[in-house]
Amino acid sequence: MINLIIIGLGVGFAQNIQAAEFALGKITIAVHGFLSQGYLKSDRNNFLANTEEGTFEFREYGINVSSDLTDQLHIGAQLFGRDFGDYGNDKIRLDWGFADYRFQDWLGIRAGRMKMVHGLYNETRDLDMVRTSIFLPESIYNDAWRDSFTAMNGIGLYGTLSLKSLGSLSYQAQWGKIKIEPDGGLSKYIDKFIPMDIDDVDTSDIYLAGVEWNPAPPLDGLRLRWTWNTWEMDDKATTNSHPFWQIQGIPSGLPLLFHADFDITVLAVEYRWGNLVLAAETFYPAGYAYRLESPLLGRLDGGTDDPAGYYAGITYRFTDWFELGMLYSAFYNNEHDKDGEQLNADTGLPRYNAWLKDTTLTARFDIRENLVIKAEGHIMNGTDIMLTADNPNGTHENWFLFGCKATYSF
Amino acid sequence: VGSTVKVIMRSTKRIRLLLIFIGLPFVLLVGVWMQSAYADEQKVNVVIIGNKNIPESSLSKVDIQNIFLGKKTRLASIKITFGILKESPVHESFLQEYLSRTPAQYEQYWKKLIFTGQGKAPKVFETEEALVEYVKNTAGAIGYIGSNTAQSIESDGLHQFTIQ
Repeated sequence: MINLIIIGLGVGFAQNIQAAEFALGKITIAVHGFLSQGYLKSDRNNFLANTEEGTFEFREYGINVSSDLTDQLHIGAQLFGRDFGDYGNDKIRLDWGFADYRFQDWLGIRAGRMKMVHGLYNETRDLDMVRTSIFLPESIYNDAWRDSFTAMNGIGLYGTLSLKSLGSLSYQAQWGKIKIEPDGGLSKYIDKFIPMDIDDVDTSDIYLAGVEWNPAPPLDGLRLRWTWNTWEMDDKATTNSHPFWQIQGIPSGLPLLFHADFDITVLAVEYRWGNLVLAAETFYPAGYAYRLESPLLGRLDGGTDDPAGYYAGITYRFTDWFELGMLYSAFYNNEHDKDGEQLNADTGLPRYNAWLKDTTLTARFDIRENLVIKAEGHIMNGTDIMLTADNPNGTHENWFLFGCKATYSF
Repeated sequence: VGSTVKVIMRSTKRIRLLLIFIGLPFVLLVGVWMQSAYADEQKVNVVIIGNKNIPESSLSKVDIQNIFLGKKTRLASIKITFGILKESPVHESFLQEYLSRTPAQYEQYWKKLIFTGQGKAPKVFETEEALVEYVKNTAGAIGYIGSNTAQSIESDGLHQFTIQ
C-alpha cells in the first residue's frame, strides 16, 4: 500500500526556497512552484503583445516534482504555462521531464525533455525570480523564438572535471528534436523578412554543446562559457499577396519550401564580486543560411545572414531587498547590412528593422521571502525582433517599453 | 505620465548616451565602493567539518566549491552529501570565502537547478549544533561551522578538514 505522508510545507532553504515534500514509500518527492504576473506598456510599437495599449497578458507559472530514486538516479518533471500576447495562451505543457543518471561527477546522462544550453541564461529564461531584469537581453535571447528554443526532447551528457589549481570545467552535450509551430514566434519572425503562409514546419535533429570554465580562487567569481548549436528547418509554405512577391511578378498561392541552416555560437563571461555582477555575451559567430525552392521558380539561394548580437550588463544588490541593474544590448539581423539598406531594398521594410538597440534600467525588490517585484524601463531604437503581425500599421524607430512584474516561488 | 514619456522619447539618444557613459560607470563605482565596505564588514572564521567515514583529511577550495554547488558528489569512493545553515554570519562568511557568492546569489544558483530539474535543494539547518549532529550521524556528510563553535563541540564522529 502506498504510504503518502506530507512531511512538511515550509522546509526552508536558506530563507527563501520552500518545498512541499511527500514520502511515497521510501522515496521522498519534492514539490516546487512559481507564479509570475506582469504588465507591459509601450509608448509606440507593439512588442510581441498589445503593449501600446498596455497589457497584463504577460505571465508564467510552473510546478515541478522531483525525487532521487537512488544515489545516482534522479527523476523529475515540470508543468509550465505562460501567456505573452498571442504566445503561450495559458496552454499547460511539459516544460521539462527527464531521468538523470550520474555515473561519476565527470559523466552523467539525461534522457527525456530538457532545457537547452545556449548562452548563460537560456535554461533559466522562464524563471523571473533568478535574475535582476524582467527580460533577458533580446540580442542573445530572442523572445520571438522562445517557444521553440527553450527545451528539446532528446538526450544529454554532462559533467564537471576538476582542473586542480586551474579550477573546474563543466560541460553539456545535447542531441534531440525541437518543435516549431507554423504560427509560432519563429515562423512569424521569418515571415517578417520573407512574407509567406507557412503550413508546416519540419526540423532536423538539433545538436548543442556548452563548456564552462570556473577558475580557482582568487578568480573564482569568474565564469567563462562557450555554447554552440546547429540545426536545420524546412518550412512548407505558399506565397501570398504581399508586395514582396507582387513586385517580382510572382502570384500568390505558389507552393514554396523554405530551408534554413542555423549555426549559432555564443561566448559569455560573468564576473561576481560580492554584490556586484558583471555579464557580457556575444554571438561568435552565428549564421542563418537559407534558400527557397519552388516547382515554378526552381531553387533560389538566399545566401547567409550573419546576425550580430551582444550585450553588457551590471547589477548591484544594495540591500537584502533592493537590487539595481543596467544593461545595453544590440542586435543586428545581418552583420553585413547593419544600416538596413539591403533589407530596405529587398523587402521595402524601413531600415531600422535591421537592428534593435536596447538600454535597460531595472529595479528589483525582494519585498518578502519568496516574493519579488520588479520595474524596468527600456529605451529602444530599431524594431528588429518585433513582428509585422503585431504591428499591422507599421512601426516607429524610437520607442519606450515599461514593464513590471511580481513573482512568487516556493 | 504621457508628457514625461514624450519627453523621454524626444531625447532617447541623449538619455541612452547619458545612461551608458554616466549611469553605468556611476553604478559600477558605487558598487565597487560599497563592495569594498561589504568585504570588510563581517568575517567569521569558518571550519569545514565532515563525517568520520570520509577518508580525506584535507580539501581544496575548488573541491569545497564543487561540493556545495552540487557538482561533486563523491570523495574517493565515498558518496557525499552536505548541509548548510540558514542565513547567519557563519553562512555568509562561508559563502564569501569558499564560493565567492552572497546568500542571495547562492539561493538563486540553487533555484536555477531546482526549476530546471538539474538539482535537489540542499538540507538546511537552523543552528550550527543541528548541522553538527547531522554531519556526525550521516555517512559522507559535510558541513561548516564557526571556529568558536568548533572549539566547544564534541569532536567524536566528525573531523575538521584542513584546506589545501
